[in-house]
Amino acid sequence: MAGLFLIAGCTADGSPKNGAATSRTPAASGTTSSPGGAGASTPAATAGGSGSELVPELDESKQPKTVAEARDLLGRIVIAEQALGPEVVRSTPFESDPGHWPVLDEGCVWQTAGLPADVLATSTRYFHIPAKDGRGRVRINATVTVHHNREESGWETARAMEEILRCPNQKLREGEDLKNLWGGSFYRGEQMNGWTEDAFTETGEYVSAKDGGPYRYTWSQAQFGPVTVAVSAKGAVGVTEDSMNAFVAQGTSRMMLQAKQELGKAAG
Amino acid sequence: MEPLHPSDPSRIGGHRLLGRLGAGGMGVVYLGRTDDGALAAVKVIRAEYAEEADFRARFRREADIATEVDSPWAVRITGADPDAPEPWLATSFVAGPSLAEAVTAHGPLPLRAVRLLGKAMAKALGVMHEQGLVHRDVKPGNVLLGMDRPRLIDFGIARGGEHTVLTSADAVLGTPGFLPPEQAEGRPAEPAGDVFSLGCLLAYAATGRLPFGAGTVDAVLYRTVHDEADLGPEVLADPELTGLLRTCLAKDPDTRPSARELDDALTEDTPGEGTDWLPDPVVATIAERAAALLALPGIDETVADPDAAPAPGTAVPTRRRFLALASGGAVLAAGGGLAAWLALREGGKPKDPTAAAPRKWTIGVHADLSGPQKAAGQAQERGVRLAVEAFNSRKDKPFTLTVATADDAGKADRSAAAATELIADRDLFAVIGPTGNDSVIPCLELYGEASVPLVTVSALATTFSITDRRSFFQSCPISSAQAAMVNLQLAGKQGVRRMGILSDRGGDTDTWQASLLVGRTINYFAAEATYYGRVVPRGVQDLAAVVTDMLAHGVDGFFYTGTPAGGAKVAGLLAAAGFKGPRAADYTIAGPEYLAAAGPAAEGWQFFTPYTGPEAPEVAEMTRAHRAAYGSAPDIWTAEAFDATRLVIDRLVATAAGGERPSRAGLLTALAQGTFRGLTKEYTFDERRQVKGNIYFMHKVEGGRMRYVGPANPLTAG
Repeated sequence: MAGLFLIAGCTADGSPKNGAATSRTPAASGTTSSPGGAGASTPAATAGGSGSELVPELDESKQPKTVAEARDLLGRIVIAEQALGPEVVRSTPFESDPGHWPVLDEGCVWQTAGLPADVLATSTRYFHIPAKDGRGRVRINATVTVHHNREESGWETARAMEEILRCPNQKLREGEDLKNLWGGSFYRGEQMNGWTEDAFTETGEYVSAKDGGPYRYTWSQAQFGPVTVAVSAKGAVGVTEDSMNAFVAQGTSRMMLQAKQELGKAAG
Repeated sequence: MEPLHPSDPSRIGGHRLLGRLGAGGMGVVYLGRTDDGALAAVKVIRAEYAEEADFRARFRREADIATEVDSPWAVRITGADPDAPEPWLATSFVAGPSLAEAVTAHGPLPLRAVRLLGKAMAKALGVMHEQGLVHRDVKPGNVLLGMDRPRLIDFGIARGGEHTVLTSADAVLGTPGFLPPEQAEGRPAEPAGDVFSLGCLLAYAATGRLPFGAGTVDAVLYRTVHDEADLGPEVLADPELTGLLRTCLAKDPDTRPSARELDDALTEDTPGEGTDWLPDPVVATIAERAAALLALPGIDETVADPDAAPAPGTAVPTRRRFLALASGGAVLAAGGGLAAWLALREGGKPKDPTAAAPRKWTIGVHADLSGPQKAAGQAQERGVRLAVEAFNSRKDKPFTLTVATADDAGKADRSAAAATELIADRDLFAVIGPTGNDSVIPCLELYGEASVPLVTVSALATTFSITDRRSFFQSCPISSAQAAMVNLQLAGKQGVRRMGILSDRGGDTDTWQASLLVGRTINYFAAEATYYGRVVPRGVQDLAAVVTDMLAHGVDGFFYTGTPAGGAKVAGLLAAAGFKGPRAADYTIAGPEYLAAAGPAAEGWQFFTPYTGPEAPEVAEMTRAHRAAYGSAPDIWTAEAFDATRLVIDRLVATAAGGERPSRAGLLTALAQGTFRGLTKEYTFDERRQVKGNIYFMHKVEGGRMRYVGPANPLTAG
């Protein structure tokens, strides 16, 4: 029904650069590094059709007020590997520390830090597609962050944009780097964004000391009210751009749909 | 306009004469241009009249009085010399057709327009009469319908004063059919006579017929003195107007209303600026007249090289630069279309491509004419019309162009409908537009499938990449080029070493790209420069904390992207903080809203734009023609739309040179190739169909307005 339609629409539709916005970005902590392949891809396409009815009105009374409520909500939005596809498996570790999130330091190196006051809960899950038949390992992270309100979500995205403005090259950890990052942001109604209140996408290159590169790197975020969701994908040898976009679109669409169902007035 | 005769002078009283507007018993009226570039109608009185008793004294007195006449509804006296061997009088020139021409060509005016015209003329006469002047020849030929408003011309000056009406066959003073009975009987002209003539004029405007009939002069004058005016069914349908005109046409001058009373009695709003009150065909004629001015020589050659002024009688100066430019780039465009066509035709094979099929040749305008960017859309429509009319005014044009418009109000959801409407016109070849970025994506596939070239001048975003671009041309450098200009000037030339970059997401996504690009390219222009960037979400009203933070990070230059209101706030905050460093903002916020909101805090802010300034010297001729056509200086974007249209015309002419009517696809192919020299820049497209060369222009706020500084990058803009 509506959900299936939404997902299909988002997956099929490549729109220029969508972008959602969160500020902490690349899944620094917890990503498993492993041999991988190369893959270049393109900007995460997004945006479903232009039908703005895909974004319901936010029911502010459903916004969480406490950390417990936020974690509860987050638990209903996060996705498991099945949402991404049959070949996707959990990595180890699988989930980030709920009390921390990544922060980009002065030197453009990702660190972890305690949650700021405007974040009630956040979680990143780590997945990958094992290398197979000459195709390298694809790393996929899915993040959900819950704030008190939409304004705080907006500032999270603004910080993410400031990070890319400040640091075109970022170090995820020793031996893993992102290069030549570029970002595009689209509020609902802009450039065919009809599926989220705000979309922010970063694309660039992923370079691994172990696996080589540069490979395509894509990170796409969407937002509904106090919730931001994001999926990142790091390419590898033999991975097509289209398949990476599909994972990113599928992951963000599914989480966005769940956020809308939880917080929208026309929840389904 | 008639060319100058061999016997005509080349200059009169500081006017370079360009042609003859008309000739009569007493002299000749020329079109002239002052050294300032203003057009004037210069009336020269034959020496034989000047020799008549007290002519010069009367001329001087009347000219002095008339110079004091200050009415927006009357043409302005700009100069006179009663003491010259052939006395002359100059008035500002109105490009439009006369009321007589308009009614002859397009029929009577609607009654509302008649009343509006009546008020305007009554106001003009009222001012004259209060100064003691009598016009003596109020008639449809002496009312010009200008782009901005109707105007009464010819102030009764030097018309022969108390001469009898019919002194000789070629010196008819006053015009039968409009002449009041008392003057027909040889009595002196009084203000009431002008009111009678105005009554005749209004009846004629409403019906297309003279109220005292046609025929011989004697018969008309007889009926004027003895018969009741025939107002016709058009006027009689309106009892109020009928009654009013009857009082104007009373035989007894004393029972007629004064001009002021007539003005008051006509219950209609005074016409405002513009031509809204006139029927469309008349407006089109006005626009054509104004555009024909494009074919006139500019001032530069005259002032720069007075000795090289053409000898009297050579109507066509050899260096009619603007004519060449305005008519398709024939001279400067390498392999230009019109040149090619002319060459072909002169080669002895005149094949008229229009002969085979009597179809129209249409250029479309897809614009925001009523939405948030309507100022830009309307400015561009004017540019298109000026270019088309300039082309149509050529005698040797291979076909006549028409313009079709479609308004999408700047809304994405109306863009497809606008495109569909234009594409459905099978005579349409190409479209200038759309105006805004939001309109682009919904219409690209439609134009692409129809192979209709879509040439935008102002939708310059970088982010349409995944959509169908087959037909889409961006004729001004895409907005990403702006960042390099900001850095070249602020970091490269003005010494900024730590740039503050503030991206206010109230602007669209392209404005964020501008911020990002400034950060990414600054070191190309100043290796040691750094920057500090901030981003604020849409809807954030208080920018003080962010600006304070940026200042605390030691920024010595500033670049803002976002909205006019946000930019004004930032200007205010920086001014309050005493910030003196170079500061620039994204060009998309420039405009009246920003200037008004920022007030004095806007002083010194710089803008780097893909459009040139209306006051830029290279577009002076276009600016002048616009002024003549619309009564005002052009807005931004008019010159760019003018250029883009001339580019399309040039390619269309080239594609038609074989004699066949070109296909849309053929034009599309031709547009992507070759080079065209426009007023603002040279046009060559890259493989993405974006114009090559990042020609940006610099503007600076001074005295509360945007002042054009010049090309932002002299290296490439030459």
